[in-house]
Amino acid sequence: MKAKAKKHFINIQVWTTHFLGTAERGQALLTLLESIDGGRWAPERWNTIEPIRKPYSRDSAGEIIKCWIEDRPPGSGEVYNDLMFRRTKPRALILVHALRLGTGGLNSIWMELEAQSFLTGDGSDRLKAILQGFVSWSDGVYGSVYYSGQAHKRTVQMTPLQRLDQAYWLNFFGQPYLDMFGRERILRAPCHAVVEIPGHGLVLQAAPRFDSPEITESDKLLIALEEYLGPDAFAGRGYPKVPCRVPSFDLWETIPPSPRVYSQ
Amino acid sequence: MAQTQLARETSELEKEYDAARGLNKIWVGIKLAFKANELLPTPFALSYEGAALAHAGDALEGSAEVLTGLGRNSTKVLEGVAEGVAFRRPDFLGFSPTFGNILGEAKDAAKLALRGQLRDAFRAAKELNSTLYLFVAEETQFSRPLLQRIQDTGARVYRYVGNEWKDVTDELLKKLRSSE
Repeated sequence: MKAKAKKHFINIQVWTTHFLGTAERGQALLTLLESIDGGRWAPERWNTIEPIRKPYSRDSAGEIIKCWIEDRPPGSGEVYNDLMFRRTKPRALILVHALRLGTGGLNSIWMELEAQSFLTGDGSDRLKAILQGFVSWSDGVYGSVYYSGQAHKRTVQMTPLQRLDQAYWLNFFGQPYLDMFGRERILRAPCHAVVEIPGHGLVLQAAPRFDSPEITESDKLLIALEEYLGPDAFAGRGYPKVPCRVPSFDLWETIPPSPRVYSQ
Repeated sequence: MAQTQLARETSELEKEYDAARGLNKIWVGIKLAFKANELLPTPFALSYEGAALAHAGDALEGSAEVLTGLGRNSTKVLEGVAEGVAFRRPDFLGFSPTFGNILGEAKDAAKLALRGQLRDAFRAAKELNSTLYLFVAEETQFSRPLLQRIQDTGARVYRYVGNEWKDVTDELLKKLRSSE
């Protein structure tokens, strides 16, 4: 299993209804990225667009934050900004998106890491800690940890505003999902463990490890989890023609104070 | 009758595009020859490369015009908002009989990434409540941040393969899940 996992990667993604493009969140993000998982994923390069080539250091924080909070047109409060970070040995790619535009939408952080770094006994706990760090930083409403070796793979577009794409090894459910599924129902889910992130929500852990045989050799466990939570929330049955059941999201932070009227 | 006309236009544009691609292939051969002999390309050769690439890009855009049913766009978007430029002018903008409300870009590039122009295209599509369509060449590759943005926004990708357009969005997005 270890030899096979060398080629694999882990995706950690967290979505939030909060607007992330503030100086406070930006500073906290840089601190988080430099320290998370013992600092082994500290960025080496950054940029707002590709290619991601600008050398990253504490001295670049001022420029990064300036780019991160910039509204365009100036003074409009409208933001559509990205921060991208990368590093090698161990390899990581991070994409953070701040959006306050039009009718609003979810902001997000996405990180891709080589799976090899998590093959040790503490690997699963370290991944849980990274997910928890992202949830706490962003006040997330939904998050997931995907292992590229997992058997259950469903590719569907869009965001949790439209659907949950599938169940994962780790699934974080914030308040909107506690309201929709029911907190007690999530706590009783047929899975390895359910862990609370105080003040944020519940992490549902499907199996002991991301590379447990129940995850890598069969899709049954994760599909059973979807069936238990409510298959109409997941994009497995006729989506996008058949809309998914989604919670009520409060997007007010991601709508500009004075939205412009757009026309073609 | 209209269908016959459409088929004829498509066929002519396909020929033009293929011819342009052929020119590009010749140029790639010339470049390899230069590299092998450690020679520098002449100004004539550089100008030939630019012309061949422009011709191929125009032909791809022309073929996408037929697919979308939209003429080349002249409307500016993101005035005073675009990244590093005064405005953007997407290749296609408006209601397409084929796709509905779209903002489209035709890209004849070896690799596409989440650079300023494409990021602006995603922003403009969000502002205009349109879907972003990317019309790309057969060999065009995509960076992972760009694939991730396509995944999250519902943008669609059409690839020009074997003289026809093919929706390759789902196929491309599977790469985000795969360790290959």
